[in-house]
Amino acid sequence: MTAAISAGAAILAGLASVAAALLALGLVALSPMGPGGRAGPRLRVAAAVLVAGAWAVALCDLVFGLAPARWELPFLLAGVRPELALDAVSGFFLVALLPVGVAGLAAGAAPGGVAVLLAGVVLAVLAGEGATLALGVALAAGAAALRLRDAAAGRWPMAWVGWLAVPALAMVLAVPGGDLRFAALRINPPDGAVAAAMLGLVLAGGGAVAGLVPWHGWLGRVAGRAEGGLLAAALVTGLGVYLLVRVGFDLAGPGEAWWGVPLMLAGAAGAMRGAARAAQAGRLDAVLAGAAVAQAGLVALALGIALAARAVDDGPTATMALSAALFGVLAFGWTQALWAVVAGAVAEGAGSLELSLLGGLAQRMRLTTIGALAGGLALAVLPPGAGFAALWLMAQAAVTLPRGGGADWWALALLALAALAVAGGLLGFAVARVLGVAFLGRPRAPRAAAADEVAPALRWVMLVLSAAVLGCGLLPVAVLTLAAPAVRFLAGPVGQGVRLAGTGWDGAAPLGLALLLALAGALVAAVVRARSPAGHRVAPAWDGGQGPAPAWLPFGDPATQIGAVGFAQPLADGLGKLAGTPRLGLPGISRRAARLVARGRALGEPARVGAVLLAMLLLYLVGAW
Amino acid sequence: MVSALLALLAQALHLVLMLAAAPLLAGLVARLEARMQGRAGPPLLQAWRDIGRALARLPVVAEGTSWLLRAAPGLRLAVLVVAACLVPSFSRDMTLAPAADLLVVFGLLALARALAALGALDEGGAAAGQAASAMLARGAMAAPAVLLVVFGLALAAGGTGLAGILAVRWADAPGLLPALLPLGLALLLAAAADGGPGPTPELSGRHEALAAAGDAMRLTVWLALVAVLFLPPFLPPPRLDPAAVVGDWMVFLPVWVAKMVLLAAGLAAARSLALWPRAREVPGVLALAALLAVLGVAMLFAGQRWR
Repeated sequence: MTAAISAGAAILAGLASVAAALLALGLVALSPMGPGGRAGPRLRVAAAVLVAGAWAVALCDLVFGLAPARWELPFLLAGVRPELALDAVSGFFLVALLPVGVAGLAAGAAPGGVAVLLAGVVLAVLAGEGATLALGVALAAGAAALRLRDAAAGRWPMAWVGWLAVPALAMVLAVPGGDLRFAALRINPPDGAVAAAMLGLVLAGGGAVAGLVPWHGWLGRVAGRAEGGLLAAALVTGLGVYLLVRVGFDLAGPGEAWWGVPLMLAGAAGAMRGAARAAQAGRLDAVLAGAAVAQAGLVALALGIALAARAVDDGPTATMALSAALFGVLAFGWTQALWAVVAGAVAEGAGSLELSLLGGLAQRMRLTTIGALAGGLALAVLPPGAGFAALWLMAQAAVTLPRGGGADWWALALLALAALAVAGGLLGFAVARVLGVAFLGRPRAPRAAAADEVAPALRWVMLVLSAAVLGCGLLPVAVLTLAAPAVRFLAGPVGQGVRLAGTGWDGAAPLGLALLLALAGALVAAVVRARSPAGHRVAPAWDGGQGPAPAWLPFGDPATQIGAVGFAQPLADGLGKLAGTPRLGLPGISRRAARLVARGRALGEPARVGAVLLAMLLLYLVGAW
Repeated sequence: MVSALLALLAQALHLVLMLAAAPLLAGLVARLEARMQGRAGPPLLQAWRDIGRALARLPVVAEGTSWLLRAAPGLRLAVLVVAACLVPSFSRDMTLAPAADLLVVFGLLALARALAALGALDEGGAAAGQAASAMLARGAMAAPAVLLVVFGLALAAGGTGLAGILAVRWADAPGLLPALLPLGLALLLAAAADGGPGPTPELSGRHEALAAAGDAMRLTVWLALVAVLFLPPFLPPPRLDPAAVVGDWMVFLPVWVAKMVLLAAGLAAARSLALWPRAREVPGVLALAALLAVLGVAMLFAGQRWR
């Protein structure tokens, strides 16, 4: 027992030093006198190796099931003694999020910002008391804000309002125990108004960081930042889900059934709106940002189901929903990382992320196409991909939600299922559209016709990420095994002794289905080989009898190939008004704040960095107080 | 041991049945449709012959297309064959019955649709691209109706497994029997709206043959799903005695054939009477299907409450 505790403490200390090292590296790279982008490669490799090591350590911690560890740091920060803690939940989130960070360090444009962001994520996930949590979130949010600083400012204020809820949350955490430490809070769980305030603040803060409706604007604005922004978004949304899980399930006490309802509503709205945006956006990164909003919504939906089911002592449903949510955190995060690398390769190799300037990339970017197909299977929630596994698990939780309940529970389950169906259908459409327009067919621009394959240094990143995403889809049970201790911890007393049935996508079914598909493919191939001549003949395209295009149209007539806008037209016609993006939010405040931000943009780079650092410091001081 | 062997035999027989039925059903629908319109129509085996003839020809592929165009028809057929293996016909105790899940079956149908669309898009032609995008949009809009039907059935059974859904038929879920009518109607409407004309890319030789076989297999899977979920008499009850099991097969095999012929006749009638929804009617039809599915779920709820 003592050996296990000391091993846990050693792991915790190691992870904490990784966070500190990352922070130092990142700050050096970001500082005006630092090496900046020129010393990138060495810094990049050092940081990536560091984080990969931390990931391996966190994985060992989960696999060997070490006892939870706590560590009080031997110094004071703004009058608070920081405390770190490592348990099954933080271990699982580290295992899920650190690979995204490795991909970000290896592929991102500015490793310094990613290092600071990762340090903030590690710090927040390892935090054992409120002030450290707020500091970690502020670091991560500040670094993400730096990464995304060029994005249009219109929606930022909404995000800031949400992010500012995090230090307020840290203050409320101190109310029941008289102390910011989570351990004290677990001894004196909050009740009544304090618990409700905690829930409201975590919905605002965690929801904003996770990119839930109505705070999804900042996620949508990662468009234009290509792979760096998308990877940062994947990390920050994961951190937001961690906040929701840690406070909503662990710190805010046993809770009541209605707690799940706002989370389910926000999740359902986010899933549907994000997917609708992904199905119609004109740029690859905007499509991916929409998909990220949809995936965050799906995870929040599952968390809402779990929260409601746990409060009415429905252990099996809560366990299934929590498993679905944690599986979603890992699988969606890795899928987003893969797509971010693919988008980066397309931006670099084909010169644009505008779908109407791409096309025919499968001919010249074979490896990237394989990455896109692997990521597409997961993103399109089609079997046997990782997205389908997540959707399957969520659907099982939703169909058992109304067990023995009244009409309200049936209505909630129906809402959840409808959101799953709408989001699933739209995501499938979005992926087929991206693959069909960008990767297949004829090139739509000279630059796309001369596209280059992804840089050799990134090939391994792409291959490993593709294999990891495919593996998540084929063996969800491996991920669920890693998540099981966290699920048991979060489900509380009602989850004890509940095991997943293991008969479907929570067991060996995906691998079996893949095997069946291979068998059927072999059967078809055998018939074809026996009855059909081998090979094929290549001839000019018939193209509806159009005839050869004139010499000044070297890629054929663009009018005879469907484009990105025309592709979405049948869906847009069908969806009607749903297709628009109605503005949620407070127009007056947001206009005024936008003016403020516009003034800030005129200040220049160093002043902006300073302002963000100042804001982070302020956040931290408020949180510590 | 005996039951496992019987299950394997049932699975093999089922697979052979589905593979043989697919082109025959396509031929039957075409012939019945022609008859209803006063034409003689093609012979029943015409679809089989067309597929064989196309298989024997060397395929011609358009310039500038990738491997996906050549691989898509075969992959799609393989996906649909797996889906066909999972939808039971005359016996509930097949080897793959524990793996059969309604969500998976519809997921495989969506995967097949995506493969067909990607193959058509790779050609880069105008008509094929438009047809592919229209097909994908119909599929995306049909997803809510289809999945709400799945969820209606799953809410009664507590899971999306096909075995569990088929086990809850008469006694356990009081609201289920009346709810089967709106749910079945919703699935039929969704199938009709979803099953409009697909893309017709420039395929020839074995690619054409595999695409035609895939179309036939897709139709068969849809009809078999409706037959097993909504058309009584459903599947025989589980039995232990092997002789009784084989006796049940002898009864339910012809029953299944009769149900499929009935559904094919209904399909042909709907097509020849111009009941098929047109492109601009599809969203409305699908909204109606989703509403019917919600109605079915409400009936289920009412049945559970007033037990």
